[in-house]
Order: sequence, then C-alpha cells, then structure tokens
Amino acid sequence: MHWGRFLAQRLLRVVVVSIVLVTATFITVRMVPGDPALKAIGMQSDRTPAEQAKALKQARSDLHLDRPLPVQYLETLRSAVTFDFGKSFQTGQKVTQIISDRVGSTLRLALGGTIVMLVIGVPLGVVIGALTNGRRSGLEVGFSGISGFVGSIPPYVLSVIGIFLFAYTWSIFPRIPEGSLLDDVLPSLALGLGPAFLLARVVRVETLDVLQQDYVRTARSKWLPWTRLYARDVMPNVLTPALTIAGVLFSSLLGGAVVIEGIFGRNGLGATLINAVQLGDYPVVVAISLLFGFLVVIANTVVDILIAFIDPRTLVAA
Amino acid sequence: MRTSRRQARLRTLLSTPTGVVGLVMIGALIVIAVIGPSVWGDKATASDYLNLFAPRSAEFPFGTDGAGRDLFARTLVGTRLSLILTAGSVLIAAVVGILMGAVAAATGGRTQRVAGTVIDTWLGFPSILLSVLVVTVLERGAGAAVIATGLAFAPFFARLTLTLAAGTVGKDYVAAARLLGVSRVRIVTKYILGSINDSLVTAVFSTFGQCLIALSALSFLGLGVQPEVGARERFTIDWGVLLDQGIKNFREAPFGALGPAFAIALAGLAFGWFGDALARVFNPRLTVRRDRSDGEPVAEPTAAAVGAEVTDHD
Repeated sequence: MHWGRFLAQRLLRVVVVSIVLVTATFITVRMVPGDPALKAIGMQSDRTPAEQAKALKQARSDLHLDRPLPVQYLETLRSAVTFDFGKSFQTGQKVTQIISDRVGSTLRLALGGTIVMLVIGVPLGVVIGALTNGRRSGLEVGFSGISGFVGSIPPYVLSVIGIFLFAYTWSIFPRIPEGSLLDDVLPSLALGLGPAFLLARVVRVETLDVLQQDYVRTARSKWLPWTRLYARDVMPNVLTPALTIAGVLFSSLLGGAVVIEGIFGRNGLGATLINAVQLGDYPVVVAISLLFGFLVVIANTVVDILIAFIDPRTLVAA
Repeated sequence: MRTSRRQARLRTLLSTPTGVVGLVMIGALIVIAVIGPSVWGDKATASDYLNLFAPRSAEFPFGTDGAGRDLFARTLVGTRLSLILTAGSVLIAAVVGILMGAVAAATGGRTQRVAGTVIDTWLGFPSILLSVLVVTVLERGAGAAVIATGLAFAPFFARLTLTLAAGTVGKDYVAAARLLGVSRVRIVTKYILGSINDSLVTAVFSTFGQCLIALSALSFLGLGVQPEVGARERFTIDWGVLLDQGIKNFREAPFGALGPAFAIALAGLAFGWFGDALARVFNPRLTVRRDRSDGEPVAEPTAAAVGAEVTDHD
C-alpha cells in the first residue's frame, strides 16, 4: 500500500538530483576559459580565414553558444534527456556513438567489481562474524587488521600488484584484453577486493549483532538447524546494512574503474574520459561525467528499492 | 592538570601498535621528503647507459629504468612533491569544507537542510570524477590537481562540521549563550568550532591518506603533476608520475611501477592508522581495551565561560 508513494518519492529524488547534476555540469563547462567553439574547430583542420569564420559561426550554433544563457541551459537539459550531446571536437564522431561503443567494457568491469565485492564481502563477513561471536579475539584483531589493510589499498595499486603477480610472474591472466572472459577477472578483482573487505567488516559487526539477539538464542535452544537460522534470521538482517554500504562502495568502485581501465588497456568510458579531458573535448567530458553521475543515482535508487523489498519497515518510515 | 591530560593522551596514542607504526612511518616519510631531492636527486635523474633496465641488486634495490636511472632513488625523490601537494589539497578541503559546514550551521533552518542535501549529493559522487571535472576547467598541472582534490574532499569536512555542529547546538551552554544574546556567527565560531576541533584534527589525518591516493591517481592519469626534464626533474616528479612511467615499462622494470605503488599504499596506510589512533585518543570509547586514561570527561565550556564571553561583548 505504501509502495506507490515510496516509488514516486524515489523517482522524484532521481529527477531532482539529475537536474542538479546537469546544472552543475552546465556551470562547470561555462567556467572553462577561452572559446569552446574555437577549440572545437581548431582540432579539425586548417582553413582559409573566410572558411575559419564560417566554421566558427557554425560551431557556435552547433554548441548553442549563439543563444542567450537561459536558452543554452534549456538546450543542455534537453540534451541530457535525449542523451544527445552533439559531436566530439576531436574526431567529429557523434558522442552517443562513442559512448555506445565503449559503455559495454566499463559496465562489464563495474559489474565484475560489484560481484567480487558482494561474493567475497558478504560470506566472509558472516563467517568471521559467526567465528568471532564472543570468542577467538585473536581472529577478530587479525581480521580487523587485514581487512583495514586491504580495504585501504587503492584499486590502481592492486592492479599493478595483480599484473605483476598473475600476468607476468605466473601467466594466468592476460595483461591486455584478448577477447575472452578471462580479460575481466584481474581488473574486477583489483576493483572489488578493497570494497569487499570494507563490506566484510560491516557485515561481521551486523552478524554479531544479530547472533546476540534473544530470538537467535531461542532458536538455538530449540535446536533449529543452523542452516535455517542463518538463512531465515541472519541473512535478511545482515543484507539491509550490507546493501546500504554496497551502494556507497559502488560509487567509489565506478571511480576506480575510471582510473584502472588504462592500466589494463581497456578501451572503456573511463579511458575515453581521461583522454577527452586532456584534449579539452567538452561534449565527450560532459556526456561521460553525466552518464557516470546517472549510474550512481540509479544504483542508489535500486539499493533503496531492494532494501524496502527485504525490509518493508523502511516503507513505513519513508 | 593540562600536562597530565596531554601525557594521558600521548599514552593512548602510543598504546596501539598501529598508532606507533603510523607515527614512525609518517616521521620517516617527512625525513625522506626533506632530504630526498638533495641526497638521491643525482642518482634519480642521471642517465647511466651502462645499466639500462638493470635487474634488482644491492646497488639498485628496484633496478633501473630505460635510461639507467635508479628506480629506488626516484621513488624516494618523489616523496617530497607527493606529500607537499597532498598537504595543500587537505588544507583546501579542510578550509572550504569547514567554512561551508559552519556557514550552513550558522544559518540554520531551511538553508541548513538544503546545504545538507547538497553536501550529501556531493559526497555521494566518486571523488575522482569530481576532480577530473575540475581539472577540465583549470589548466592541467600540479596546481589544478591540488585544487581539484581539495574540492573533491571538501564535502567530507563540510558534513563532519555540520553534523558535529548540529550536535553541539542542542547543548545547554549554547542555548544559554543564545539567550544571553550572543550572535549566531559568534556561537558557531567560538563554541561550536571550539568544541569540535578534536574531531577535525582527526579528520585531517584520516583524509590525508585518501587525498594522497586521489592526487597520485590524477598524476598517474596525466592530469596532475607534469614532469620536467633536466635539472628540475627531481622537483617535478611525484609517485603518480613515477607509477605512470613505471607502467609503460612494466615488463622490463616491474619495480618502476611497484615501487611507487607500494609507496602510495604504505603512506596512505600510515596516515590512516595514525588518524585512527588519534580518533581513539579524542574519543576513548573507541578503544577496545580499556585503560586508565579512559572515561576522562571531555572538557566543555562552562556556563561561567559563556558569561565571561558575553561581558566581553558588552
């Protein structure tokens, strides 16, 4: 019964945050010193002065720079809705085309990292939590030290270590993409391992919390099978905070993907973004930044909805 | 009284292995940063054509690169720029963030809620994306990277200030001050920032490691420090630049990349550990093992102090 209002609320938030995003990007690009139109045509070819003036005028109109600021802003909003950001300054290719060619590689990497984070983080946290429930303080200290250590190593450092160990010292995974599923393993591990350990820390504490509840003691005293205890009582209670943290970690994971794509020779959105920043190719920079921004917003919304699904109490609170 | 509390705090700081190790590592890093370019500068930048891509040895602990330059010396020399730039970005993050949080807390009401939402949205986005956007606007280089990293981490301080201020606003002595007619701005600067500076000091150290990692990433991507060649090279390389150069010759000289990678990770870890230890000093409840310095009440401005403040005003 609350679902309608809940979903409407989340949708409204997505719209508001997206408008804030577009506005922030619009202001950012207007702050760039110099004439973007000059930059746009300067990258393509040599022309006579007359042609130059004509090309400049054309570029101004293509970029909507000849219109008053409010109109420019509305144009930007429209291009965000239709996801039509014009053409790349550098190649003249449509930005949409550039993105659709490369988004697959980045999404595969982000998905791989998320899988690593969840598949390692949640079970590890639950197991360590069960093992350290009131005993084995040595394991507790050891786990806290190791997880803090691994969790604070940035993905690009893990990538370098991973390549050294698993691509050069032992040739298990390819150094650069070779067109098989193996390509994604090493970068996904480099991306997801740190967040996995941070997630495991949270999951361990939540597991301990659940295991100390009275109803768990009751269940234990009735000799309910432990599989049932963990499936019915522990997991649902652990999943809610785990998903919340996973949503936050997903955002840093996307940032990590931007940095490590180049290391693994992947031609994804992150590598394209960095290249576009270096060349001042604004249409590409704006489009990719907005896309990443939308991904973060959508991921957070999906997490919110999943949590409401697992734990309907959040619906009442909303 | 004051010295005894300081001693107690120092004891707590040094009571955990991570606090001690972090402190020692930070000390070592600072020493390397100070003496680095003058002690190892020549070895780090001079070409040695008899030792191209030399393997690791006692003479070259990390081997040499394609121009025969000592990769271990290069990593040590990079320490200075990495630490200085990080310090700059932490300073920007702290000043901008604390100002934003304090202003938001001082205005109160609806403005504070809107500011809170903006800060949270800002926090939710990958910091590397924020800094990449800032670098797009500014001319890319070390300065732009420092500003970009500072702005990307400012919301951490803004959120912290706003949250702590919101907690302090409810305290009786602040209510008393307000009743006595102390202005909102004065309340924020004097009582609220005054009583939360412990947490802010802790946050500076915890953020330092993260800023170092983000800044090195920018340099690594070619958006930060732009290395020069020749006599100034020893002052214009940081760990991010070295990592980028090392990756290009990974097969021939793996420690060209592994060296700076370890340096970034270890330095980040050292500041993180030290930050955690500091947090335990200022907030003893975080300590797992309880010791004697526990439970000491945190000093709060008393009503008398508030009264004195008001007479100052008159």
